[in-house]
Amino acid sequence: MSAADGNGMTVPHAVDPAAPDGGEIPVLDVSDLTVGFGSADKRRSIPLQGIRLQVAAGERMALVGESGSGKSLTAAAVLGLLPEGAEVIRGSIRLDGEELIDAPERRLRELRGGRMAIMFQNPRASLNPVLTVGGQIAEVIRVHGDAGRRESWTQAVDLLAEMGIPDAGRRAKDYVHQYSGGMAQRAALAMALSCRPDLLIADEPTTGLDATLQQQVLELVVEQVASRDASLLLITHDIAVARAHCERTTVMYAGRVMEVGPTDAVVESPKNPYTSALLKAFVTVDQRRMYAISGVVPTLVGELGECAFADRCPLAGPECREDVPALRPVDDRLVACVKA
Amino acid sequence: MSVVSPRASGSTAPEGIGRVVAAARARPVRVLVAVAMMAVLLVALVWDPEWRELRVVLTVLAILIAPAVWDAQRREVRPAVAVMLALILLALIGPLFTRDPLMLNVGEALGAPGGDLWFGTDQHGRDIFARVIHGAQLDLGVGFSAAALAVVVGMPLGALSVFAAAHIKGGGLFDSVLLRISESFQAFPTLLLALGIVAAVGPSIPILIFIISIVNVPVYLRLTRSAVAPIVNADFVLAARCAGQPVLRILLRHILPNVKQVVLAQFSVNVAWAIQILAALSFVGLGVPVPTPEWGAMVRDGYEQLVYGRWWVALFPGLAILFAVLTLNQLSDRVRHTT
Repeated sequence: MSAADGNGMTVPHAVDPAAPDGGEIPVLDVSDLTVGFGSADKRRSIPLQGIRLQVAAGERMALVGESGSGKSLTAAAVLGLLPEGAEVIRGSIRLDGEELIDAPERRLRELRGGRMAIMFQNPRASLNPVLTVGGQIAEVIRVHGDAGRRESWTQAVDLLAEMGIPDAGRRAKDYVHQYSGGMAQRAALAMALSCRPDLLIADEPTTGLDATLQQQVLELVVEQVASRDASLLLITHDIAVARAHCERTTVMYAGRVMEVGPTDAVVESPKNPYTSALLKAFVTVDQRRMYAISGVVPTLVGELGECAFADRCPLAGPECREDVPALRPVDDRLVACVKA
Repeated sequence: MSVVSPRASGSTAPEGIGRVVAAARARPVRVLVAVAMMAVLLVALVWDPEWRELRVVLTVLAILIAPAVWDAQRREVRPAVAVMLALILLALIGPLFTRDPLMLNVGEALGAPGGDLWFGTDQHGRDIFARVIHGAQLDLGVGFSAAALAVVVGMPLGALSVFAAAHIKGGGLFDSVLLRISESFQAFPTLLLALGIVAAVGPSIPILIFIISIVNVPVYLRLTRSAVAPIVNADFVLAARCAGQPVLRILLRHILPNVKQVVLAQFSVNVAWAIQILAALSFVGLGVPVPTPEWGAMVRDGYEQLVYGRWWVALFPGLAILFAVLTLNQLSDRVRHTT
C-alpha cells in the first residue's frame, strides 16, 4: 500500500468541481489518509479512513462533524503530532506540495508554526501560565527566524496590538491569568500568526467563549488570515459558524469524509443522507423537539468495507454494503454516497 | 541557537556584558547586595583555608535568596527568608568574632554558662558558643550543598523521565529503569543507607555531602516526576510543539518553570533533613572527624553530661539544630503556600 507517493492508487483522486483555482497546488492536500491505533496484528481501531481534504490558497474551509468524527485527529495528523500509539497506515499529506508523512522531525518542526499553525479550543490552557504572553510569542518568532530578543519582542507587541489587545506594550508583559478569555484567544491567534503561516488550523477556536465574543473572535481570525493571504481550516461542530465564515465545507462522519462542497450549497441542499441528518439535528429556535439520528456510530475497529452510515441511513440498501463509497463528483461537489 | 546570523548581530538588542549592565541599572539594590555578599565571601575565603567551598556555597545561597526579602510580591516568605539570611550571615561572619572553637582549656572544663562564656564549656573546656557558631557553617554548608546536589541531579532526571515517556520515542523504557533504580534506593531507610555507605567509604566532608545528596535524589526524582506528569500533555505544551519548538527547549522553558515552586518548597525542607542526617551520623560517630565543631557531634558529647545536671553541653547545639530546622520548615511552608 504505497501511498506516500500520493498518486491515489487506493482511492481515485476525484477532482473537486468547485475547488477554486483547480490548476494550482493546494496549500493543504490530504489524500487517502488512514490512521490506526494499536498494532496491525491485533484488533486495531481505525479512527480515520481514507480522508481527503484540500484547502486551496487563500481559501477558508470548514471541517464539520460530530464529536469523535475525527476532525481534531485529522488536524493532529497534518501537524505530525498524532497521539501516542496512533500511526498513519497510508495516505499522503502535502503542504504546498511537500509530502509531510515520513518527513524528518527537524523539517516538521520548521513547518509547524512557520508554515502551518494551529489555535486551540481553550486559549487559557494553550498559553503557558508561568511565561509572559509577549515572551511566548517572541519565543516562537525567535525559534523560526533570526530575530534577536528585542526585535522579536517588538514584533510580538505589534502583533498583539494588531489583534486588538489594548495597550499591547504593557499587556505583553502580563501572564495569561491576567487576560480575559477573549483576549487570551486573541493572543493565541497572534502566536499562531506570528511567523506568517500559509495555513491556519483553528480547532473549535470559539467553543470556550460566549456567543457575543464568538462572532468577534471569528471575524478577527477571518480578517487576519485574509490580510496575510493565508488559508484557514476551521474545525467546528457548529454549522452556523461554518456557514458564516467559510466558503467551502467538508463534512466528516466516523472517520470518513461524507461530502465536500460550497458551504451554502451543502447546507441548503445536502446530497449525502448523513449531511441531511446532521442538518436536521441542528437545533433552531422555533423547533419543538430535537431531532436525533437513530442508531449509533459504528465502532471503529478494523476498516469497514461498507458505508459507515449504512446502519443508520433511511435510504440504505444492499448496494451501500458492498464497498466503501468513494468520493465522487456530483454537480458542484464531492459526495461519498452511492445513492447521491 | 548557537549560529549567530548577520541580522541578529546587527540588531539593537544588548548582548553579553551590555545585557548585564542594563539588568544592573534596572535593579540597583540587588546589585548592592550582590556586591556586599561578594565582599563577605572574599573575607571568608582569605581568613581561613578550611571549608572554603562550604563558605562559597553559603554566600551564593545568600545572594540567591536575598532578593526575596524585599520582594513585595512574596510578602509571605519574607520573614522566613530574612531569618534564614541572618542565619547564613551569622555562619559566614560569626566565626570571625568568637574564640577558637578548638582551644582546649582543661581548667575550665564543664563550666556553666555565664560571664564571657555565654553557653558554658564542654568536657575539654572548649567554648560552646564558639563551637555552635562555627558548627553553623559546617551544618548549613553541608545541608545546603547536599540538598542542592540532590536537586540538580533529581529534578532534571524526574522531569526528563516522564517527559520522555510522553514525547520522545523509547522514553518509556528510560522512565521505568530510572524508577526501578530510585525504588531500590528508597527500599532502605534513609539513615541506614547513609550509615552503610559512610561505614564502607569512611567519613569526610565531601563524602558526607555526596552521600546525603544520593539518598535524597529519589525524593526529587519522584516529586518532579509527579509534578510534571499532569502538565506533560497540557495544551500549552502541545501549542509549543505545534509552534515548532524543539522538545528539550519545551522541557526547559515551558515545563520546569511550572514545577519550580514545588521543588523549592521541598528543597528547604530537604536542607533540614540533610542537617538532621549529618547530625545523626555525627551522633553515632560516623560524621565529621573530631574535634571539628558540628552540632550533632556536640549533642553526642553532651548527652552523657545530662545525667549529671550539666544540661548546657547538649542543649545549645540541640537548640541550634532545632532553630535551623524550624526556620527551613517555615520557609518551605511559606513557599508552598505562595504558589
